[in-house]
Amino acid sequence: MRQQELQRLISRRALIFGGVQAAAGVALLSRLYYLQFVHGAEFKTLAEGNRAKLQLMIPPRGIIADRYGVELATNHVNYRVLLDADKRAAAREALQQLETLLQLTEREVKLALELIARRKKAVPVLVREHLTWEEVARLQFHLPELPLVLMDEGTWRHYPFADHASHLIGYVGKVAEGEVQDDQPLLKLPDMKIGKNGVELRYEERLQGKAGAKQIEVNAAGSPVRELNRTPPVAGDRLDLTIDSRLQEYAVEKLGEESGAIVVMDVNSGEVLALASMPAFDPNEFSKGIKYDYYQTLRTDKKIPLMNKAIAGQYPPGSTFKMITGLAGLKSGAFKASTRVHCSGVFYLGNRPFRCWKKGGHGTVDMADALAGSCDTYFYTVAREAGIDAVADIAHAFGLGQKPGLGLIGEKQGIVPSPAWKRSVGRGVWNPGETINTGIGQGDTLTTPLQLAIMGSRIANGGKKIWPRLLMDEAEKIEGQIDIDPEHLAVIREGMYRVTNTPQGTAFGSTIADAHYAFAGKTGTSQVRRLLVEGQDQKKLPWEFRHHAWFVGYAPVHAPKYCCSVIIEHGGGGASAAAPVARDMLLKVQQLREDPPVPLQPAARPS
Amino acid sequence: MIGMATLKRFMRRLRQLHPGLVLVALLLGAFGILMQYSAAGGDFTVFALPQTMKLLLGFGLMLVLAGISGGALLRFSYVYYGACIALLVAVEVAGVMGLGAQRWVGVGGANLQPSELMKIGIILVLARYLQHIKLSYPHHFVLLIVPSILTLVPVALILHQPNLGTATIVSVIAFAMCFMAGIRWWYFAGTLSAGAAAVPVIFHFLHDYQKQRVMTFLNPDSDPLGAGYNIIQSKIAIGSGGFFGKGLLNGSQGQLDFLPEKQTDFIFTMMTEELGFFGALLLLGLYAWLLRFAMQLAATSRNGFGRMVAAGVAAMFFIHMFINMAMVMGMIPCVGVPLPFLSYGGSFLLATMMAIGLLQHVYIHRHQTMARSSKIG
Repeated sequence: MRQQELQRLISRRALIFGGVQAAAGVALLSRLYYLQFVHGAEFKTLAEGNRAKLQLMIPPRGIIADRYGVELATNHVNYRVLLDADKRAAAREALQQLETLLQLTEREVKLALELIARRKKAVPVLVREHLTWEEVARLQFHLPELPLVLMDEGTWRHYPFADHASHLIGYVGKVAEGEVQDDQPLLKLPDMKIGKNGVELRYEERLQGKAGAKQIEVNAAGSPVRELNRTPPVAGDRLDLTIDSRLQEYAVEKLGEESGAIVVMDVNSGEVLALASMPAFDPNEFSKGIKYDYYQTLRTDKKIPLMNKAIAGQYPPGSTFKMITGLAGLKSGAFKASTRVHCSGVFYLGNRPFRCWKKGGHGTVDMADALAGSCDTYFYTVAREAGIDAVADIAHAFGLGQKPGLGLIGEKQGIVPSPAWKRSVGRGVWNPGETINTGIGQGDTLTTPLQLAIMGSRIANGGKKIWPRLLMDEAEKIEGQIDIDPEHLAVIREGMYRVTNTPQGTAFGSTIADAHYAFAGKTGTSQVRRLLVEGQDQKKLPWEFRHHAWFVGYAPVHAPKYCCSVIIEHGGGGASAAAPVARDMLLKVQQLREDPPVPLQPAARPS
Repeated sequence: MIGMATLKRFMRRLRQLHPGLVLVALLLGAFGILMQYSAAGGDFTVFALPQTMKLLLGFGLMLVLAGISGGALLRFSYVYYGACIALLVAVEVAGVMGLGAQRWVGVGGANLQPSELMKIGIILVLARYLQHIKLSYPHHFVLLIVPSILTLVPVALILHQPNLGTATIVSVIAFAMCFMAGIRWWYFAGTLSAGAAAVPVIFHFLHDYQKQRVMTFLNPDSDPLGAGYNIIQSKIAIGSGGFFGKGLLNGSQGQLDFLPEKQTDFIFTMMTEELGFFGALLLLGLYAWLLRFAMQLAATSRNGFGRMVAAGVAAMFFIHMFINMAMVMGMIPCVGVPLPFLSYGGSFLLATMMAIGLLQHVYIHRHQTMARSSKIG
């Protein structure tokens, strides 16, 4: 090949090779352009996503206080010790040192090592929380020597009144799987706790506050490098309850070892001043993470500590229902205040006998007397004459058979039996015997202590349809006026007065001598088991077969302000077991209200 | 051995150095050191300092190679090639394991990668052989035999290390040089089709990690936290750079450890994240100048050896630039290949500067015809 040809060949080859290089260069630049400009925004977002992580901050939970600012639920600082080690050997060493410092148990050490082995990202592992002051001080002193150990603070919910207000306040716990929705990222945080029952659950929205957010820059290992910005969390609202903690404590004291409930209400404003149910549980145990043994004890106790008997305990009202029957009779026109009935100890509906509790009967009595002596015969008669529908109507008007509306979980609405009701639950046709039984509050009738308190309040305040409320900043809830003749109400109230202040009254033994504080009310005894033997001594029966003891009353008689309802489960007799408690409560509430403490923090008023 | 006369001639040749080439080499070198500074997070001592030392050493080597006589270089070619083969064998026998592959051998306290040095070796030896090629020879298919052996021996040794990337590069350089020598291209076509047919067979024999690389390339999202991670992160870093980049030391992906190997394979990624499209244009501009310079010599130098060397150097630079940049931008499967001047790595930087030296040599001797060279060789 001659020189010229060779030269041309070489030039051609060089051109081709050069062309390949140029094409490659264009391809590279195009690809670069594609990445940086066509998809630039997308990649910028991904880059940000890599490096910036959003961390939610749990907001401080709102404090719950009583009407004078006494704290019922607060937040305490929880000091925790954490371990951040990558290698098992290093973790073991650090734990050994912590063992001597904090007296770690074998179980704690084992658990910590397991968590370290299992963890995916560089998240510190919890070794122990709720450190005591002493432990904190000791740990703090040695912290510089322990590079893998961290200490941080969280908060936990503290209930100063422990089991004295546990049902009312409720408790907080970890968020369960089913409780979280996708648009609630705060609830997915592991340390987040929400209300599980009582006030904590009812007003969760107000107590929770708003989450804060921290944007931190992380590197590829997920370790934080620096904080970019933060929005501080908003603390939850402080809730001022209408409860007077002094009265609440007194109620718990009065219940003592008994199983039962007490409700005290302001008859004009509906404010609940005390709501106690015993036996109870210590919500602080739930706050820290309840221990299995303790929980089992609570579950198996015959007296059912986990139930709030004040709102969820449904019992036949017994004789406390007689006011309703009486008013129904008066309203129907079938009875007048002066109408007399002779009680011989037994009442016949057709051929069927219905006994009066008093062997031998009350003799001839009018309505007020009948109330005072709690004559069953009288009210059997009234019920029969007035008819079940009239009785049911009055019952509903006074708040029975309806949800009291506090919104607490477990609130029950009781039963006011009627032919319509019986049909609706598929039990067939009403028989007249049931009217008779309903007249004295037995049979299918069921009420809760709170419902009786509402009933008592409406009788005491002259027939205003008052509803109870728990918050100071809630407005009064009055649903109008009951359609009842004030004179009828007066008769009933006279009867209730006689119950506690005349020798014929079944609760005369609990009378308050001082007329300034005098109270009126009604005893009740609801049967748990039918009387097998007449006049059987309740005290001789096993506890669970004894009757429940009721009392509902109001004070002061001359200008009623407060209503109290008491139930002592299996207490035996209303007069003997429940009335003295109600008396003490009504006396106490009047005395306390004359001597209010200076509010620690002024309660919010409705605007 | 080296007398005054030789020295004088040496200095005279050095005066004929192409200043533009020196400048471009220095600019690229400085660029590289700047990038190493950033790769260490603003610390000069970690990567930038060793790189500077190697650059200075390389600069010396460049001058030596530029200034020696044509004859000396011809003699040196076989010697150098032989030495590289010896070192490659030494690696098999006494090599240091690094990154799961035997690639280094300790020489006097420093770690040398013989496979990098072989890149220069193949250029020199093939140029030596191909310079006298008589293309008029009717079956000059036979002419391919020697180059093939000269290429396959080191390629086999390198593949055995295992080092797929460098083996490929040496093969491609050889291929390009044969192409530029004028050998009929349908002989290449034959080899190429044989090669294409062999791909599935080769794939079967690849090491697992190499197979994984191909699979990951085809779908990086299939294993975003494992094998595909590098490419995904690289694309994110590059794509988020914008026109002027995020600023030196401000590449969030690089500085926050989202980019692995950022001082070596992914140096281009780090550079475009921090200096943007603008920085990439600058780099590519310098590379383009370099390639143009080499190609011009490959086309116009009047001696065969010079043309071959220039073509070899051009091929070497081109293939490194293309593979590295295409890889980090997700255009080809993950093959670890350094980027000239920018990647951290002493052996390759030395090879690069030697290549520049060779280019200078070719430039200085560009008017000498073959007759002069062959008289001495």
